[in-house]
Amino acid sequence: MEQRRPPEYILEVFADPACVKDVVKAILHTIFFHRYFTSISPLTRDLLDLTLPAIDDVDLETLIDQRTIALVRAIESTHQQRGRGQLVVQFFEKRRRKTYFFGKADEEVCWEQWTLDVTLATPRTETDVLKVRRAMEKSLQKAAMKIVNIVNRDKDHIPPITTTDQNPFPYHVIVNPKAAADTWGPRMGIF
Amino acid sequence: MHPHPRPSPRTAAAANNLQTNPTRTNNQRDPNSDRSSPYSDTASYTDRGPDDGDGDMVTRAEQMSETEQRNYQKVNQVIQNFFTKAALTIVSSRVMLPQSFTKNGDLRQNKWFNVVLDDTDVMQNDLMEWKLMDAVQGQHPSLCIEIFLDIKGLGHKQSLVIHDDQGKRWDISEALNVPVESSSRPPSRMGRSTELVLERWKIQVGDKNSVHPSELRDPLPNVYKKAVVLFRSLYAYLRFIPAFKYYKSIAKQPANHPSLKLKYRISNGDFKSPRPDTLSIPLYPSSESVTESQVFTPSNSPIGPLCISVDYRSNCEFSVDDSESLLSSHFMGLDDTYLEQSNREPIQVPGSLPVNKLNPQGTPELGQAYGSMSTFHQVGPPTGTSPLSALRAVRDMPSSSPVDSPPQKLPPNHRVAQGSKSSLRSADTPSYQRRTSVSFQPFKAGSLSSSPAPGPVVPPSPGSSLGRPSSSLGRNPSALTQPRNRTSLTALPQTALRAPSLPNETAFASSASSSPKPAPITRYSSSFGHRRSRFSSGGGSKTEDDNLSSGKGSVASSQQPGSDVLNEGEGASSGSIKTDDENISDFLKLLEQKKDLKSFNRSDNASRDATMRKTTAQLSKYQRLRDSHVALSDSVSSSMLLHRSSSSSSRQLSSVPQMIAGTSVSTSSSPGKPISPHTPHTPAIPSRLSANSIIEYEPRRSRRNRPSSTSRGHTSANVEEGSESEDQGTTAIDIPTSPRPWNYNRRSSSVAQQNRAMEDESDLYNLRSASLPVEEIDRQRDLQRIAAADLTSSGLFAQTELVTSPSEDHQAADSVSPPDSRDDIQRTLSTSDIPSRRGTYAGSSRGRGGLSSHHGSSTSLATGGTSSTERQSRYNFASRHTPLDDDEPLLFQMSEIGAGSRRSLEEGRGGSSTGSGGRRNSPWLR
Repeated sequence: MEQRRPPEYILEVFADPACVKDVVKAILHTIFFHRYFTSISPLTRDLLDLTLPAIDDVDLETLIDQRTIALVRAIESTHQQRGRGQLVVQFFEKRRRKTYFFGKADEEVCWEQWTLDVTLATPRTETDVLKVRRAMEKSLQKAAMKIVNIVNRDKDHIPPITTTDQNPFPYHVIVNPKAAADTWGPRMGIF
Repeated sequence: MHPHPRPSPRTAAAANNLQTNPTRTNNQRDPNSDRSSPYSDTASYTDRGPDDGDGDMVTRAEQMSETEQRNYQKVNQVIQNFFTKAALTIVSSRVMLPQSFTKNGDLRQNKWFNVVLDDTDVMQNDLMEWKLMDAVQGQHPSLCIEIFLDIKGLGHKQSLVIHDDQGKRWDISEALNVPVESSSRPPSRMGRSTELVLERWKIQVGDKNSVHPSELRDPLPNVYKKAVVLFRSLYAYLRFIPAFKYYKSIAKQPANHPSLKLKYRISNGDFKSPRPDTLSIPLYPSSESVTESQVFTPSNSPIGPLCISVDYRSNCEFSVDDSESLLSSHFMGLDDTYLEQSNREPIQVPGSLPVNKLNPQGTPELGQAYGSMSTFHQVGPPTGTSPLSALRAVRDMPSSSPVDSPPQKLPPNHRVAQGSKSSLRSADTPSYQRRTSVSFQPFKAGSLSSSPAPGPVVPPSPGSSLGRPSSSLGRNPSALTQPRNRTSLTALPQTALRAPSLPNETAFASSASSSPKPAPITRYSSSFGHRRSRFSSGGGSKTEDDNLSSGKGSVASSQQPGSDVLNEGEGASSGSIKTDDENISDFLKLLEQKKDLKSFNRSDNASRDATMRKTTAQLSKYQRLRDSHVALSDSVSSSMLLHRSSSSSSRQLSSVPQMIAGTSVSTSSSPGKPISPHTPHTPAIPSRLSANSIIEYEPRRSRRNRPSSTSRGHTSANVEEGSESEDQGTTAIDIPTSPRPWNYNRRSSSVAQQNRAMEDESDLYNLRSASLPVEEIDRQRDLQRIAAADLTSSGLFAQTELVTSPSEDHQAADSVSPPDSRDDIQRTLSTSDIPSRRGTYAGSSRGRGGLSSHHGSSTSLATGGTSSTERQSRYNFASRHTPLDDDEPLLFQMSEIGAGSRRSLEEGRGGSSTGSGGRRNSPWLR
């Protein structure tokens, strides 16, 4: 477990500027919906004719909103890579570091990583608008289905849950980890 | 849950361990509304040492002597709740479940597997079995949940419909009733079901031996943890699939909006339901699979993998519509689709090489002019002026021209059809199919306008096709002559250009004629009557009329000697006859190929017959025709020579033996071949004949035109214009073209449709009053157009001569468009006033035929003479037919065909030998 490289799942979504925020949020919520192990009252949100699950958690909601906004800004501001952006969601487990001492030092060990590649499409014609919308719906549904299939397929790597009080697994959401390596240096260190 | 859980634990406890108080956990859960259970599980998590992720169970077992019992109890609880929670999760996403409250008045919730859902009492009884089961002991029946729609819940005059990819609505009740037979497992389906299953969920414990032992040893907390993930994904997935969208759409609708709510049924999946399985019943024709399935990766448990899977309909675009509006819309939609298809097909058809080439000749123009509607389309191109341009235009025109001309040309088409049939047959199966489709559309449209019956739509196509032939017959007088001329013209050009092309035209005509026969019959019959009367007067051979087709042939033979004019007309008729024979063979083939069509035809015929006069006689005639057709086909196929002879005979039969004979021969030869083969190959043979016939036709037409100048006016100014030396050729060409197009259209079904749509609207409407006839007319027109296209080759000759005239014709046709409307009106009138107008038409057609014949005559006098005799025979037939009346046209067609075939055979052999000889001679001459 310890040395094992955490599984990394890559999702790709396609969105137009108007919906990119909602799409990214929906994907993040869907991921967290399957990784937020505390008892929840599930929510659903409709987007592009799809109904996607969501978690009623203020902190998580805030985090997702912040990261999504940051990602969209990054995509819009930096024109590098044709309107592409990347979000990385990492789940950690707290492990009591086994030191030579009896220190309580806990460390967070990543046990799973989701990489969300976002491609921004800017339709210029009426027909393109429809095409992009269809492609967007398809990519969103495809990504959601992929999440569902992945979480059911791979369960053994989920660490034991040791607490019921709160979310057992810390998480991080990183925007453009490679490009923002400097900014996110501390967290990058986790890798 | 609480009440049930209590008992289950108790029983379990009693059975398992009295010491441990399984009830405790149960009791706790009950009061806490199941919270305890999750918590207890969570407790297990907490129990785990932070360091030891895995050894919880072990530690527990070691720690507590009761651990095993407790574990046993917990396993049972987890499994029980896995089933019940899954049921709750699934059903609550499809149905609004009533909430339940605790004694304290609090909302009761199910928090198992860390998914908090409002609990309900309504499923208690259904789930009792799974709440009480001792899963550890191997008692774990599979749980089956069906989500379905029950159309019994529909209100009065409401229909449940599903929307396919194109937005078309399909009535579910029809699908539910039909499937029983259509489905692969009729036996299993008991009677009619009112329930349409949208989803079938199965929750079960898989085979313990199918998984790795380590998975069975997975500690319960891990089992629970993994089950949490499974239930989360289940919750999400439930909302991804189509049934949820339907549920959501219903929820959004206003309360007073008609809707059908989803229902659920919980059953033991181990028992097979006696109900018919309606999950996989296709609700509409589609290439896509009706259902899809999802199997969730099983979750571990000590007693085996916990499995959840679902089969669901991939399309749940249901809605509740008013039954009446559904019917009308359904028809309309069908009509539209048909029209679209027909249009498409016709377009394609024109695109077909033969048609295009044929049309260019200028005959198409005439055809266009004739069919006012068609004329517009066709006319435009023909106007191309220069022969080449005209030819090109014709190519373009053919589709259009056929459409317009088809009605008038229809009769010719029939005649042509025979020849064309071979070509058609070759290419034909497709064309037939198309035709059928087309016919269906028209019928539907017709049905809509005239008779609403949805069912008829399909049948109508056959019927329509039949009607068209009949219509063509009725029109025949004018149309026949025109068509004949056209056919002859087409045949000439075609033969000259390409025998195959002619066959195509003929085939189209035949197809057109065949299809048209039913509806048109009345009209046609009337027209025939006129024609016949006229013919009889001219030819005078009424006796021959009895054997309309054969009679025509005989008449033609006999008549041939008679008057040139008559002969010419006969020649045209003979051509038509041949086409009829071919048509008949086509019909027979169609019938064989498509029983439905037969039924339709029969139904149409029968109805008409009943209405008309001689259903039985018709039937017998048809049979005879079939025989004759077979014989003809055999003879044709047997040898080219035979074909020639037969064709000659048929030619003789037809007014224009020589020219027409060539065409007709080609057609006949092709038909004969086609008939047996049903398809294409024949064309090659026809080419020879066609070439000869073509020449003949032209002369005959010219002759005809002269006599029936008035008719010319009716059919088209084009003819008249063409009536001049050049005009004759053009007229002839036009006539064939118009028929050819029709043929193409019909066969292509779609192709004709455009023209049909145009023409049909005007003409058809008139006919449409008769509904079927219109379609038929259109088909005929298409055929004619096609024929015209075929004629193009012959038309080429005429065109070269007429080139300028064609342009004129085209212009006229262009201007004609209005004239076409006139023509249509006339036609309509003719339909109403069938006899008089038909007579006029017949005259016009005759005139046209004369024109064409003239061309042919110019080429070969002898042929013209034979043609005249033939025409007489035809006329006679018409007269003979007249007694039969419009309805009989089918019979006529059939009889004619059969007779024609017979006659042709006979004639070729004997009496008709003269005509055949003439025809033969003409070919020879050529």
